[in-house]
Amino acid sequence: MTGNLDDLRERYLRAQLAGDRREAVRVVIESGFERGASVRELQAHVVQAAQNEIGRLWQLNQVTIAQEHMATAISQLALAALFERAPGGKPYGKTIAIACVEGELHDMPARLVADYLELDGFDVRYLGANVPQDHLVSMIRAEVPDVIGLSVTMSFNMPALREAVPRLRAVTSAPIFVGGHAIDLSRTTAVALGVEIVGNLPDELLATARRLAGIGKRGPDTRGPDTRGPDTRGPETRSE
Amino acid sequence: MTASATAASGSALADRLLGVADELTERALAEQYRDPFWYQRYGEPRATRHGRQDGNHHVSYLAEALRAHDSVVMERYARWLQQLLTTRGMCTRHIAECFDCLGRAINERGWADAGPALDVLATATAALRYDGGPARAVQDRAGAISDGDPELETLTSYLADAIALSRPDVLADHIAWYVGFLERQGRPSGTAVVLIERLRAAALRELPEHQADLLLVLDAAGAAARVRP
Repeated sequence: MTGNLDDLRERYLRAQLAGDRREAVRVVIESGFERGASVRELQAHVVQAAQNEIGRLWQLNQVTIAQEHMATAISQLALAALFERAPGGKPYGKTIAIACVEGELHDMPARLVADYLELDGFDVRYLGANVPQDHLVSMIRAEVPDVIGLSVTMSFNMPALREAVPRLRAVTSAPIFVGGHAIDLSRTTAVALGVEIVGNLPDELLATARRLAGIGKRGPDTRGPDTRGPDTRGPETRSE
Repeated sequence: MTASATAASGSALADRLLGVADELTERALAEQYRDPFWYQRYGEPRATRHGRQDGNHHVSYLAEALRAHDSVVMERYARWLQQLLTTRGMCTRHIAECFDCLGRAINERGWADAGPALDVLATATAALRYDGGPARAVQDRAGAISDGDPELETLTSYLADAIALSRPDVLADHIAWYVGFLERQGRPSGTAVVLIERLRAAALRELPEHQADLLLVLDAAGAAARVRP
């Protein structure tokens, strides 16, 4: 990793709590790239880490629900800014569909996963929060992705996961992975459903996704260990 | 019983619990809210709204634990809830009471197969005990500290939570509110001061090795008890 990004995370967190959207974006885009940090590092160690801290502060009653929502909205903006500036990985030619199960309104974890995968080189279909079962199944049948990822944050949405997995298996043989806070609470359910569990760290997530998609180890990537921020060589450098 | 039969019975019980979640919650709240603390502390509309919401969540997580055959689901939920609620005016004892009332509401249904649900609730209550350190020591000695006095027992629970969170304000804020509550209950002026002094004496007597942690919280609580509402 490019040094320690704790100070950037703290600045970003302060901007979130102050509701200062411009400063938050400035921290990740200007300060982050000046530091030489990669997009993935900024996603994980600034935005995701700050979101985890916001969640902790809310649990300890040190920020309100309104502040938490404001902070999350700022992170959506920051992630979009990072995504826009990232050159993207070399295309794998593999498609992954990412969705929150029906009823699940917490879309930030799935959004992060979708961004990590897209920038790694997957072709991502990100369906967002609360995807109705029927529409999820229809979409998967139509798109025929190579891998499917489902996110569940609240445990009371686990029944939706239990319903979704067999319904998806009825229309596709694509491997399925699951993640989210509810999975952390109930790993036995994922095991019983025969789906892969992914953790919260991007390296682990990407390794699982590549394995499920049947992607072997890549050859040397001249752009470094992961996707670096603004690449002046343009999008054509994504090609093999 | 085979694994699939066990899974099927867990799911059947979970479905039944979810089918009567509202009724179970109302029954549990009716018992719990006999204590004037709830309406006085949060106001009747808020106490009722959040009580119903939380009660339904308890049943949902319980059902999930039964479906998954994994009591850890409920244990982790209990610990998560503990941190959430002990920083919002409740103490661990209140959460344990919630689970107890829910357990009695389930028991009253007379279902022959309710045992696993009650077992899961028992493991959730056990999970509310802190892992170690002075907070756990206070929980372990709560009986001796409160000496059978339910009022002191509740304050002892707030004391353990304040120590666990390293937040003296958790007990002090409760005491600041409690002074007014006691007056509204017609209790003599200065009752809160007496209660904190009894708590302080008993806690220091039972846990002299944790004097520094105890005093950090109890001094703040003593100061709060002396402030007129």
